[in-house]
Amino acid sequence: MEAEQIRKLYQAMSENGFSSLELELGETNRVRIALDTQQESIPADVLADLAMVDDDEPAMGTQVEIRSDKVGTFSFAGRTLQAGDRIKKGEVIGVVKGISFQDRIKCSLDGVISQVEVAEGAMVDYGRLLFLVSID
Amino acid sequence: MFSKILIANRGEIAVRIIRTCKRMGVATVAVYSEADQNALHVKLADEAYCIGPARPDLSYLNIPNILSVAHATNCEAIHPGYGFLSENPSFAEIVEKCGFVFIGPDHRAIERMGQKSVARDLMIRSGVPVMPGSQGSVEKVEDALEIARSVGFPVLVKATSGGGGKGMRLVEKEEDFAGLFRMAQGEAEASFGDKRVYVEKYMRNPRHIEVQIIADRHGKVVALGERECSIQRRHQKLIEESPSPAVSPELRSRLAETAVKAAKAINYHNAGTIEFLLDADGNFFFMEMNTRLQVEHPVTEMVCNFDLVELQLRVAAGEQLPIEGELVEPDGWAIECRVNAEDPAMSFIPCPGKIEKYLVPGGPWVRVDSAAYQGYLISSNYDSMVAKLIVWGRNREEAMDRMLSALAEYEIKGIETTIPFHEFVLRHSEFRSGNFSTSFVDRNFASFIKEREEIAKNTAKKDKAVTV
Repeated sequence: MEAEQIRKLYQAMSENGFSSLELELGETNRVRIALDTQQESIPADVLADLAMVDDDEPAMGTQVEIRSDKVGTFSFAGRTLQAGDRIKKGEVIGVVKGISFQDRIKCSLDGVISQVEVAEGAMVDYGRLLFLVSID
Repeated sequence: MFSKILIANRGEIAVRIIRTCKRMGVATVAVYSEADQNALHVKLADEAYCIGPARPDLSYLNIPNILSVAHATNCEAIHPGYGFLSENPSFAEIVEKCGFVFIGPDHRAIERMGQKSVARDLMIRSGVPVMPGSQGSVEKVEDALEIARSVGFPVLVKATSGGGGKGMRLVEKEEDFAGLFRMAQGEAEASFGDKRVYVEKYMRNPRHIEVQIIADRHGKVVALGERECSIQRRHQKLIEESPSPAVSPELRSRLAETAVKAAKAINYHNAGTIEFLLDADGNFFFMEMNTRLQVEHPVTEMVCNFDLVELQLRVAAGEQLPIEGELVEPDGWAIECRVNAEDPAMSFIPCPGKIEKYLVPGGPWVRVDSAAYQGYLISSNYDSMVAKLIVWGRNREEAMDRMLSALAEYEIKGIETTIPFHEFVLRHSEFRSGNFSTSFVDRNFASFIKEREEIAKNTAKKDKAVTV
């Protein structure tokens, strides 16, 4: 691959919001280009919308929805989570893999998984509900 | 043929593409923004995935998310529609690099035709007539003025990366040149991040005539006749027809020959449109090339009897064009009105909102391409087009009359639309004579407003009479 081609690809990637690109041209020719963007160094944040807490039922705790803000294929990170599993703040609980990125799904607080809404290998789209977490 | 494609668009064009795919047995994957959860293209596609919030830059222009959907759903090709990513050469390049087929031309053709002065030079070299003016961009005001003097005023100063009238300045007199030239440069820089401009002669009252071409990957290029698009307001087309009342069979074959030559010169494949300005003496000049399917493609389909989306899919899949010769002669006459959610009485101000009542016209040779339905919310995030109303007739007279009765039948409540303006144009003696130019809307807008006021007065009188 010519240096000029790589330069062009690099430019096209940065203009169009890609963080990395892997190309296979034949069996021996393989190129990986990664842009050193913020997106790459800081894992994308999780969309955690705090559900409204009902004042009458404080025992319910706070439910947090964890949704995907990327489009791709979901896989669990390390262990396959089930309802009742305890997760720690900052723990990577899943990965959404798109064509040019990997988005690590984290919970922003300690809690217990109350519902798993996604299966290993499932395709998830933008805003798709992945987990419901009860925050202690 | 492909077994599954992704449609990277929304609205009527996504619906239009899905319809052809269904007939051909090609599975479809739609993408949509959060604002389009209830959109028709989402309902009609075999699969649909949300790719981002309402803002176009985060959804319909979000290349990583669109490609991730295509990848995860095993699509073989991507149709970009029009607008959004359709004329983005890096999108076309990345699509192909990721292993999908881009249903459109090669990214290099998009790139070259997107740069107006580059396109102009290419056309000059291929023997296509262009408006007299500069060769390539001009940087210095003195050089530009020299060119303006040699072609004669009035002249246009246009942005190299421009489009849609932005970064364009009309200069009538020599003494205004320097100021307006710098203004055009500044606007070009601000709008497109590219301050390069070029100069060309300005034609008063031209007609806007464009030639539809389709080319396969085996070197065959066919012109599917011309479209008349002179009824426009601020470079936004309102009514299109095919054929054009200004184009004789002899002129048609010259236009077609030129368009085919231009497409061959850049090794073009897939659908494209070459726009020309036509003067009163039948001279035509290259204006620009649109490297995608156009909004107004249905009028061509109606008189040529080809489904353009089908042809796009076939040539993208590597098939040969199933057409003899280099020009398809029109059969009958077709007219299209763009029904927009705009108030023509208020200078066409967009008025998004909910469609409370929706009744579509019907009958023989009436076609409505739309994604609207009763209860549909027209979002201010996207363009204001509600529908394209297309009719066919054996001749222009019949087509115009059919359009008028279809417009009268079209009921859209809850929002203002351009329907009253279309009725005004279709009844207008100048339009009906076939002898009009791009200045039609500007020259006749005041009489439209007057007519509206009179109708309103008469209705008020009648109401009063009833109460008494």
